[in-house]
Amino acid sequence: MLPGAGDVIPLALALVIPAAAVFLLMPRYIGFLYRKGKTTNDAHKGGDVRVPTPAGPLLIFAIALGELAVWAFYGSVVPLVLIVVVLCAGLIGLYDDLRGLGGVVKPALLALVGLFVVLVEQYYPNVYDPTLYFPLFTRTGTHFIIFGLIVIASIPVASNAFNMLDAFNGELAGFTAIVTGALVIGILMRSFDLGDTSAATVAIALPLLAVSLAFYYYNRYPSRIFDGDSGSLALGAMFVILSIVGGVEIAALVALIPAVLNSYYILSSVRGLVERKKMAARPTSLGKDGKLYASTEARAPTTLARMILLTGALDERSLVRRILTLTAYAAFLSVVTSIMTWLL
Amino acid sequence: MMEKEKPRKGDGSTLSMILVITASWLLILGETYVFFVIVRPLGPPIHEALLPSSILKVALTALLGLLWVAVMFGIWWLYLRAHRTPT
Repeated sequence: MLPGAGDVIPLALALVIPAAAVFLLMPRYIGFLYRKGKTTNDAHKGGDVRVPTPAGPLLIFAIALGELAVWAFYGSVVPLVLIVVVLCAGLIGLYDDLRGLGGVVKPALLALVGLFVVLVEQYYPNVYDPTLYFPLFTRTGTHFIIFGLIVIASIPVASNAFNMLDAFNGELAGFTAIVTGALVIGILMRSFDLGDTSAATVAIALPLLAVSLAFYYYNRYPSRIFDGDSGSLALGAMFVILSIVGGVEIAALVALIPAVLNSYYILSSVRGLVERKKMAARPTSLGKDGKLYASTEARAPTTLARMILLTGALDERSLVRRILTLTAYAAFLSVVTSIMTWLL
Repeated sequence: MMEKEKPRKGDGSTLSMILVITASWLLILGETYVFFVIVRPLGPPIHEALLPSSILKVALTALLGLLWVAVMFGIWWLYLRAHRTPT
């Protein structure tokens, strides 16, 4: 059923608490990272421009606060599952930030996070519905094993897709905000059609929307902080589990098309799972005019940014605007997919 | 007479990428149709009966996935070829 008047306060808190946490704590957190010397060079600016990183721990904390508020109101186990997922994915990313993980170890560890969700479903069978709903036609039967395998595989795939898209100022924060917006609309449509998802399902999606929007303020050009792998993996893992518990997997897949294509083209061009830091060449280069150019090196990975830059050099802000335009288009197709799934 | 407006840099690639995203989306919809109308009625689920038709269903479903990958690879190749980028 659709959210009613009684849901206004929890829905508002699910949005306001995480956003407020980011806005209130981020300036102090940025100062803390500077004092500890946790900064990295912003590769797409001329000279040695140091930017603090990672913002991941604070983003995870803000999401957890929002999910705890939802749990306090609705008592569902799902917000707690989400907190564990975000925390585990974030810790894997944090270890990767500090020590580095191999191109194969990281997806394997993330798959274990998916396994945790599948195991929770065995004890609390209302965490997700093991059925895929497709646009226009119909739905699959209930398949616990096949769906469980999809859940396990989807976390490393989506998290790495988010991670690979995290290259320019504001790119990942803006991307996450846009695709989560499409996801929330999809969950609302499912609630309207089936009535099996409730206001609580909508509420659990809102902290991700709030955090990504608030983080965009600090991460947009010129970035005041980078999220690091802890942030990108946590946001990706949260997005994919939200799509599963919300029962809007196909709409989520459509929204993720730019990230999926980006990852797919990178993996195709470097021919395998290679850690980004270990890639032989960068996909873009910074010109003396301050603009970004597509790399002409054959061994450079083919990213979405490199493909866009093939028709001409752009400054970083314009490039991110192009990528977010493509994301908005994919989000629009996702909403159309949701309409075709739930309203037609 | 007004001077003809020059296209902004990157506009061409944005339009091309929008077409790639649209193609990807349409392929998902098309393959959904093939799956539900042709593949699914072929036989019972594989966990209910291990019949040749059930195995064929699984094989055809995997083939649909491979088709998506192949088409996306083809589009990528054509895009890079059009811009003469070494790979």
